[in-house]
Amino acid sequence: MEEFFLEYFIETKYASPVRRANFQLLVLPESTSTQRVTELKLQSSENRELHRSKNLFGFETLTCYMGKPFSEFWFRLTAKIQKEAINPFQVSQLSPAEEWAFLHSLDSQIDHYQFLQATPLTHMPEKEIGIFPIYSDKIQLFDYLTELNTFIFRQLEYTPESTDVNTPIGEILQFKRGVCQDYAHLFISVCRQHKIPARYVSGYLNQGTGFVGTSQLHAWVEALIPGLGWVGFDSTNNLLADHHYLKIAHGTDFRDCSPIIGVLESAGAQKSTHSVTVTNQ
Amino acid sequence: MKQQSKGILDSYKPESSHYDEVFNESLEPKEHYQSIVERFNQFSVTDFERINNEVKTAFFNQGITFAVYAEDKKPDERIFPFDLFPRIIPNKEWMQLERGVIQRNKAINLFLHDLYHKKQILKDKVVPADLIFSSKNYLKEMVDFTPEGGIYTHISGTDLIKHTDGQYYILEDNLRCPSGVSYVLSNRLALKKSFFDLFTKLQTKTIYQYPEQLLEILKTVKPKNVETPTIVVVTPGMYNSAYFEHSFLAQKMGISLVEGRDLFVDRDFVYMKTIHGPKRVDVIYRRVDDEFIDPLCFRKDSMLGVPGLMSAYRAGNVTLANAPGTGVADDKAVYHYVPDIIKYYLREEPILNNVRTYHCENESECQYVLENIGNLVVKPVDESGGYGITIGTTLTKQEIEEVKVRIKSNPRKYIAQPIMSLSVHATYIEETKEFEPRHIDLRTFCLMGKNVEYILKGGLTRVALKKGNLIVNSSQGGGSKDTWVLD
Repeated sequence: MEEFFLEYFIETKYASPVRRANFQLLVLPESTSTQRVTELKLQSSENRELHRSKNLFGFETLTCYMGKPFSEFWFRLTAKIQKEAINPFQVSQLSPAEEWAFLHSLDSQIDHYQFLQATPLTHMPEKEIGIFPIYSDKIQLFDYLTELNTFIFRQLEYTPESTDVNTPIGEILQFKRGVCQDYAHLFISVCRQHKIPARYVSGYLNQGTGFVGTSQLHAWVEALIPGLGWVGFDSTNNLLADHHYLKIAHGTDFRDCSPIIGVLESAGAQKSTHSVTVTNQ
Repeated sequence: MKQQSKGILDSYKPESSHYDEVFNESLEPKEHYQSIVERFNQFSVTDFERINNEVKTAFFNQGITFAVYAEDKKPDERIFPFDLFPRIIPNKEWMQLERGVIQRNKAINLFLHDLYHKKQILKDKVVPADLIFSSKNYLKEMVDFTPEGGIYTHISGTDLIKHTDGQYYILEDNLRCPSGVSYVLSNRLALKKSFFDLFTKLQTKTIYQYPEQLLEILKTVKPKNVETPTIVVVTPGMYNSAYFEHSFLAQKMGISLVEGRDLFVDRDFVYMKTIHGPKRVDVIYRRVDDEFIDPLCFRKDSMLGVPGLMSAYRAGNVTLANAPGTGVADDKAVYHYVPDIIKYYLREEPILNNVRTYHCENESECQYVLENIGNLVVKPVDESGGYGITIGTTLTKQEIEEVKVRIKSNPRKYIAQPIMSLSVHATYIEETKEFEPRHIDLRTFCLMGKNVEYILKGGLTRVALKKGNLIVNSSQGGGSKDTWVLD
């Protein structure tokens, strides 16, 4: 078991007062049998109490209604997380043909339809499909996904601020540059082409190990391996998601996992800064 | 009133090619129309014109209008044309309709619950899974959520027509925000003022209970732990084409009419701003489309919605009527499967007929459609209000080619049906000052609450005022008639 300390901070300043606003934050690490939140402190501007709601996938969001005019909003989360060591290298008991048959069954396609449909952010242009490794009933799914993970890692050059959260796959492949959500969207897109259920994951990554993507929230992918369950792949770092990965939520793509969404009644400009720190204690 | 030698209905010329609701082949009024034809024949043209004008003025003064949208133009505000000659449905015929409409809506509710939970009907291959998952009206925000009482379509507006064979056919299921009921109630009031004597002679089933019944239905789905729910109507605002109806219903139910900006969500509860401070809202009859109801969840640019509403809804603290995501079941491509859906969930034979529907998504059916466009009605699956519909017999050669190109570019978007011959009904035509046959259909209004349903006895008979026109939608120049169900 390992213990991590994390801090998430965001601050936004508004040029002219905001009359009213609703914020929704999706930054709480999830609580599972292998990931326990042992200490948690939430602070925000004007000591607003944050309300916990469940989002469409059952993950806890923090919501906040601001009914009076304000000119700045800040929020800080500090938490201690205990994480079980997990061995990401698991072996499926099913044969490649059995895995393939399961994924191609109507039941699987209906049960996991949300993670099989292309979304605007995970839509692969037809002409690009050919460059990626091809999945077949002759190869163990875990091996295929590991190969795909490495392939995507080599496809793109990690370049901060080269894309934004709305950059489509076609553009990512054209410039071959991106940040963590682009690697994730690309991985998801290839999986869904091959009827492998894949979901976008947002979370924190332990900074101590010096991986890419540590000064902000990280993104990776979980793919469904029949007989094994959902397994995490991080193409940004060419790694499997182990106990250094602290999950917040998953969804069909980035849009289901935005760390903060606000609907504001305001006219002026705004300036945001945010920071994330994760340390291994 | 002076007795005239010649009645105003004597010059009526029926069309033999369509089913005439009022007259039989020998030009005699059918039994259930006898008293009213007699009564109308006592009027001279001048008398009738006067009554007609009085009613028109009354409608205008009450603001019974709707807006028509055209590209690049400001919406045009018009009176909803009202024809004084009511459509009459004998009780026996109505009972069959009523049973059929309720059966259909019960099955559709079970279908929606299944689609958003186990999806068994898809696994059993009764409805193709792709058809559902490719629909933009299938909302992932509704998956694994059960609305209060399991009710999705609290208000539905099933459209029916009568074909040449004298049988009713379902034309479409309107499961989102069906409108028109305010016209039904206004029409009845207008006729009662003009022909009160007829209502004492003919026992017509009453409809005035509708707003009260709607309120009762909304109360049955109040959130748990709420004694006396606060219920509101949410409108997109006064520029919406159905604003008259929104204000009419709120007023008749005695509840507040609000816009999204009058509400806010705090800690997963919905509040209405009032002069006495915030007041909690428990049930919302919303007349705002799904994609605009919550900018935190759906369209971020929506100015009509309430941020956080979906979260409050999923927390069980507010009920929305209708539930979001019902549009997946009134998709015109799903329509084709409704008879199978009825058999699947209720193990009953459908009481009402469906019109034969061809799916352009299916290759062989698409081929048939492309070869027979001249004899078919082609409809986009996700439009309402009669927009985008083409009727084969009215198309030029060039237009047929254009329709073909549209279908080929997006087959999933189109279905086709044989041209149904809508029945005709004697209708007063102002230009000729005579009664002429015009095509009609019928929109019914069915309410479903927890263990209770109500159907308005009659509905909105829509009439295509342009000669030969088959599209009855008000946005396409249609009018309406009062509809009487006899006791």
